[in-house]
Amino acid sequence: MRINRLQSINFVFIVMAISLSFAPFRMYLEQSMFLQMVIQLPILFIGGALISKTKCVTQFFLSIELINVYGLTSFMLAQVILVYWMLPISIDRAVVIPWVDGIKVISMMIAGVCVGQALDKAPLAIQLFFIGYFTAMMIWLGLYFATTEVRLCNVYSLSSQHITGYGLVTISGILLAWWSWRVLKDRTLF
Amino acid sequence: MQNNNPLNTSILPTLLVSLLVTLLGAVLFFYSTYQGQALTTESLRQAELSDHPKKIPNFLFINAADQELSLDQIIKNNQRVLIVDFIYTRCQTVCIALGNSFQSLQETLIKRGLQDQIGLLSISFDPENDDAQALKRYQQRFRMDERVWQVLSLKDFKDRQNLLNTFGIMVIPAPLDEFEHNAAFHIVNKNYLYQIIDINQAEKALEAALLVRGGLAQ
Repeated sequence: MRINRLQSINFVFIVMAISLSFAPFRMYLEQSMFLQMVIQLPILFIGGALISKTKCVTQFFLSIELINVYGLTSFMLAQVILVYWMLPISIDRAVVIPWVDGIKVISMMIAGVCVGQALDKAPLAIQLFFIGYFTAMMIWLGLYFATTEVRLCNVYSLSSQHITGYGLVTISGILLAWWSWRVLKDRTLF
Repeated sequence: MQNNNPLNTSILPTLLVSLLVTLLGAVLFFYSTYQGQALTTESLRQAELSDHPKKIPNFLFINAADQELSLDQIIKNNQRVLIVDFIYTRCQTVCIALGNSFQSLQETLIKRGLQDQIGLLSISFDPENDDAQALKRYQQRFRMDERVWQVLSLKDFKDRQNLLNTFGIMVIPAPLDEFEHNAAFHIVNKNYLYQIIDINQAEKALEAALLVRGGLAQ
């Protein structure tokens, strides 16, 4: 019964993550850089991570285990996707070109699926490398967004960029804290 | 949590596929950032133009004397390379920096006797508010010498988006009835946009204009 309730919550979250990225909600979410980078992208990523726990996705990853030992390929793919959507030029394109925005939605969910699966396979050292690398990159980028006086995204204001910067640093902190808690809880990793 | 046993599974196929993913990612980054030259839209339009000058359609403007004139006319009358910026006269932020840069460029052009070769042009993208009177006030505020520096506003609001798209200007509403917009120096000659130079590189804009002028003279 408890599992069913959890599954229902996950399902609602996934539906919400996807529907928020399409009309009529898209224009509200993407009118601010903060809402897009600090709310929309993480929601899509978490939605993907929740999908990664479903039976059919797990079976798919079992079928490609030969080329995804320790979840390395998954981590690499997620890294490419996440870094791509950190580029200001990509954010501008997603706002201006609808099909790019569609790719953003799909790819961010794929990144979530990949990381969700990889975290269940990877030894501590590999997890530390990828999570550490990604959070360090996001903190650096966040601080740059927050402090530079150069407007990086043509579709967003400088003040929105500054707030987004602090938001990215906060997300990095939350991600690191969550991952540390997860690792400490799971004794099999040591 | 299931940890794979490396003794049972060879890691080589994984490494090869991971390498392939990384390579594909590198190719994606290479092409989406204009061969690695542009991480922002602003640097992209600069990089694209330096390779391929862009044709500018004809637009209809009004000047501070409320005279109607087209871009074709301005170019024909001037016979000069133009350094163009985009402003709105109420602007209290980036346009002031642009105005100050144009002011010092105006002095340099006169001092070096280059006013017959290079002209300065400020175009307002806010035709709803920037009428001839507003342009006149802007002209006085920055002590424009009309032989060197002109300020214009679009005649028809319906041309606004086309003008902004042509020059790659993105304008978004900001608090206090202001606009946020990207600002740069645009080097224009004979209906072609040749180059875009950063707002803080006025000297470079002058050099670029002279280079375009020199290239045409040859």
